[in-house]
Amino acid sequence: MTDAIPENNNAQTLKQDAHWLEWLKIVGLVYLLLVAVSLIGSGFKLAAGVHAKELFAFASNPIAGIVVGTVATALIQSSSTVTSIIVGLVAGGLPVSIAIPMIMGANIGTTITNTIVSLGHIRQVDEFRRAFSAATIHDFFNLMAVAIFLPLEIMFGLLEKTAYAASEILAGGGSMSMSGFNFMKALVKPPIKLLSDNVFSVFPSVLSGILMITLGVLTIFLVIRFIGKLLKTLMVGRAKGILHSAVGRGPISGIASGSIVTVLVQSSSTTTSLIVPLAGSGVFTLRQIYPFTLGANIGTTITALLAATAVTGEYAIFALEIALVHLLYNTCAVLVIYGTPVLREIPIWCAEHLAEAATKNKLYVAAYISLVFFVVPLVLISGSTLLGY
Amino acid sequence: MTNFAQEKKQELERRIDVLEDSLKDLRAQLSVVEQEAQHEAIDHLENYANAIEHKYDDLKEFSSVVVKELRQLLHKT
Repeated sequence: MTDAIPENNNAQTLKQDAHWLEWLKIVGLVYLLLVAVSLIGSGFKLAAGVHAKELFAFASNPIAGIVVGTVATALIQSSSTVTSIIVGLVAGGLPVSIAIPMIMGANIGTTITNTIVSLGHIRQVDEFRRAFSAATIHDFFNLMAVAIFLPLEIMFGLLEKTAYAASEILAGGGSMSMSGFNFMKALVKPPIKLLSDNVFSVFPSVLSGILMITLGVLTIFLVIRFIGKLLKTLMVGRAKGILHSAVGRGPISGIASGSIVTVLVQSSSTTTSLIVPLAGSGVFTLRQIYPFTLGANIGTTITALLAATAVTGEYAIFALEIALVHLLYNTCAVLVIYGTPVLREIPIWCAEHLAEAATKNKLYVAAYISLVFFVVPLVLISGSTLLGY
Repeated sequence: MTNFAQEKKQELERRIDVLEDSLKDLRAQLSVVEQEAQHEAIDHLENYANAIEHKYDDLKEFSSVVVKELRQLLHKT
């Protein structure tokens, strides 16, 4: 009995040491993420030079931008990866106006993950109906957000203008520098310089730019995957605490807890996939999990903001601007759609009716996934190309 | 209104109040039971956290169900 206490203490110390090691890994991975975003920016500048706008001329049609964002995110299954890459491209000269629809598309593409997770309940009819509606409510909300905000953005450029004003205030405040010394540049530039001077210098500038972009994209993809895995293990306890405190407290608390859990696990797919089985079991109703899903949309914007801190130089303000567009867009969508009772009900109605049909015939599910995430985007892109946009 | 009608009205109002109070009480009890179940489900969050890792298995299972339904549909037509 007396020997058990030191043994317990030893086990606890070992567990704490393991946690410290995991946190150190996360710090290292975040640093790698920042380097990768900067690498994409530098590579894009090198490859495209002053022709960045022409290179992305195909995406100057907003529909094409949406499609690129949707399909890329649906295939990679990580909106954080896609938004970080977009930040990196903006850092290299991609115009913000072209990047905005891509960010909106990433929001749609990310919803495929929890829809796939809900398919795991397919053998139990009632469970599947609840889980599928909990997953697709996120899809319908994000589709509605695009339907409302994309035309407004094309007509008035509200998100772009507001985010630019906010980024001027933030970047002008010298938040990342002190007495002219830029911390981020000092942290991120050495590995970039090492790579570009020693590894990529043997290639012609365009090829070395393309190789830098490829390495950056691959690094972001792997880093976000590993961060997600580590944080999921480390943060599940915290997430439980946050969810416990949100039970029975209404929608605002649900939105806040969804945001915080997503910031902690750095993945909206993880957050929304967590609640699909909770809804499937019938313990939480669709109306109860709806605000939590919206919180995930807001919380996921932290990754792009984090990525934007890596960017220095003339395009740094635009990188911050696109990250703020992501935050503004998702926050405004929640305020406008969830804040308006009539609009709030539309995703609920659509999700319930689709789930009802899906339980009767699973072909509806297959048709829905292929249409929303692949067929409609491809038809739109082909149509707009044929029409000469 | 006669005295009898007045008394009858008051009695009905009193009974409605009692019923409304017990309804409120039952709703509160139901809410407690629901919230207890929700807390219990949250306690097992680790089990759900791994759901995302099995998404390819989920897709495989789903495709087998879809193929089966498609075959049935083609058989009918």
